[in-house]
Amino acid sequence: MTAQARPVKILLAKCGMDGHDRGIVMLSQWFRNAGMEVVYLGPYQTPKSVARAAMQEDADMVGLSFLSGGHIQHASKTVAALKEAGLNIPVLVGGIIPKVDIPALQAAGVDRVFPAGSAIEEILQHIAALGIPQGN
Amino acid sequence: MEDKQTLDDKFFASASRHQTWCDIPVNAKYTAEDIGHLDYQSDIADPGAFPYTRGIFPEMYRSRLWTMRNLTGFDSPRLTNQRMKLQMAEGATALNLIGDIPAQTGIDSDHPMAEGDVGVEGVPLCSVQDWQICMQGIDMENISLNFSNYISPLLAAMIAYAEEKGYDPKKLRGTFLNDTLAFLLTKYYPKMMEPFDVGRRMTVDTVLHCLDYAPRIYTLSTGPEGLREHGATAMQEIAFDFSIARYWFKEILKKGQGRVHIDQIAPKMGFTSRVGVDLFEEACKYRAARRVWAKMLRDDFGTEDRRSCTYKVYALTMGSQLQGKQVQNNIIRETLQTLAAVLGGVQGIHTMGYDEPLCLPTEESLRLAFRTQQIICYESGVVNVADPLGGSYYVEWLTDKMEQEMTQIMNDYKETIADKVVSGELVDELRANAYKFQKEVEEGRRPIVGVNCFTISEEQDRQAEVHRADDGAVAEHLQNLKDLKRTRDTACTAACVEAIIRAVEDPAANIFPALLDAARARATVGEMMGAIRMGYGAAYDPFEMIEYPF
Repeated sequence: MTAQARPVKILLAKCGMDGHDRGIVMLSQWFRNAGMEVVYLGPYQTPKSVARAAMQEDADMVGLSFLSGGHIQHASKTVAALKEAGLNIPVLVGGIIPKVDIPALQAAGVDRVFPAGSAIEEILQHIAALGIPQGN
Repeated sequence: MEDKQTLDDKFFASASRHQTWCDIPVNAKYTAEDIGHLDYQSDIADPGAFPYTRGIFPEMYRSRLWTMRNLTGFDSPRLTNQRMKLQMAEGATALNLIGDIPAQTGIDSDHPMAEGDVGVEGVPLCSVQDWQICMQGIDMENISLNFSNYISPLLAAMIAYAEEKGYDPKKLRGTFLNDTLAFLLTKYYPKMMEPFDVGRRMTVDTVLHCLDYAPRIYTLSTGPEGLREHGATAMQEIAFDFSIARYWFKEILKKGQGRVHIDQIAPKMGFTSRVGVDLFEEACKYRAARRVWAKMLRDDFGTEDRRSCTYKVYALTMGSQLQGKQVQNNIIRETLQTLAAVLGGVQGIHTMGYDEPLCLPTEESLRLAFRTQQIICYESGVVNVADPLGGSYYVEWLTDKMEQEMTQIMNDYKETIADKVVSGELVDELRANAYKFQKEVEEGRRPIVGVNCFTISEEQDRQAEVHRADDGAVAEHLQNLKDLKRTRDTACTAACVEAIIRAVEDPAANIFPALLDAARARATVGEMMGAIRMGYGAAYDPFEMIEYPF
């Protein structure tokens, strides 16, 4: 990772009621070991609760994990909630996402999708390239 | 972006990872010397003979094939009903329904938190009415129905439906998970079972009441998804399952107060398990499990009754071993996993759709899943001989090794298993395993085809059509729920739900009859669960968003 004034802070969450969190828990530890600041909100979040936490935590970016199939609905609502809160930060999505849904997610404002099985190194490189958003 | 092969070169010339999937180091060969300490009669024995290492029946699949029972449930009761009929047309010999996330968590489809999750991961089942739609045209006295859910109100609604339809509850066959400790391990909302008395009461009372009321239903099925898929090893899977089973047997016997005997309780357990791609490790896991179970019942509970001592198990292929890259590869993984289960001598198998890392099964992937089991069953010849791997030096050595480790873990957790599940400590341990596994994959020390070796570009990696949720069906279901609440005799429902609270408050009472009455009065699952929670002083709604409606 390139030298930063401070570590990148990422807020991780699962929206909706799906509780499968093996992947996101593993990633939060991975990101921490890579030197990032990580806040994992846990499952059962709503777009509003994610936006609120992103504000309070002053997060540089948000990562959402889905297994259940509700990714387009939940992700697009979360992007909208962040915008409404005045937060112009990237949203990354991962989990069980068929490739055919990636365009729809990006059209809804998601920055990048990393389906399960993506190399974690690739995710870290992308986050490093995003860096800390201007104004944060 | 260039696809990197991250796998160490050493893997391409010879077998370089000298361990089973779950990290047991294995030698280059095994001989009679390695198993010289084992005695055939006492340690291994014939199939169908204590300690059942080689199988629970003398002739295994010659006398009864495993049930070809694939899990299903999605969108609405009506669409799930159609899917079950399709399954039967494709060769399913038994059924397995899973409730959607709200149903699994014990809240109704119209709860604010449920929005976007109705019909997701399973079928929404809120009431007797939903069971009517879901089971339309399916003869419940003549097919075994597993019901992969933990919440007793759902079972009460099922039995209430069956009775209204004229079925005799004593003839209903299947398995109801009912293990509320397992519920916590699958990481559903812990507040659902806070205090844990809520869960314990449901599990214990359901088993006890159904001993006479629905005697052919296995009312306990330990083997939570949360274990293997979270990162547990095969040895931990069995050890934790059996530790939890031991806990439940003790609790049930305690409430039974000398009026019930272990040989009435233990036969109600039909385990669930996950089966992985390591053929020998998985087959030996089941062999070791049978031996450990038989010994546990003999040593801890003083019985050698075969109905108590035989480990009956349903195997689901491990979803977390399937990959989203080059999904067609999963057909091969599924085949190995299914074969491992057959070589292990299980009683029922669920084979995942190969597209599991992308979506719920399509009709095509569902059909292929059944064909996988059918080809193994009818073409491969493995079914002709009970425990065909038995006697192999490696297999007997590995079985023994796994038994030792399982027994050690069970001793470590003997008194603490329930506390460690409720506190979340057990899950934390499993997460460490998952992290270590991922590091091995990322660092090229564990080959996963299509992921860190033999990768293809994004463009080359075509995914077939995926299953899509039917929003119209979900809307239809929500309307049915509205209509139910509008048309039922609310005073009668309210009285029955109040009666649940009273029953819960009396520790000597069995709450299942009150659940049955409430289900008959068209109480919803959320209302019944809420009443149980209120009986223990907890909030009606674990999310604290809605009020007690009566």
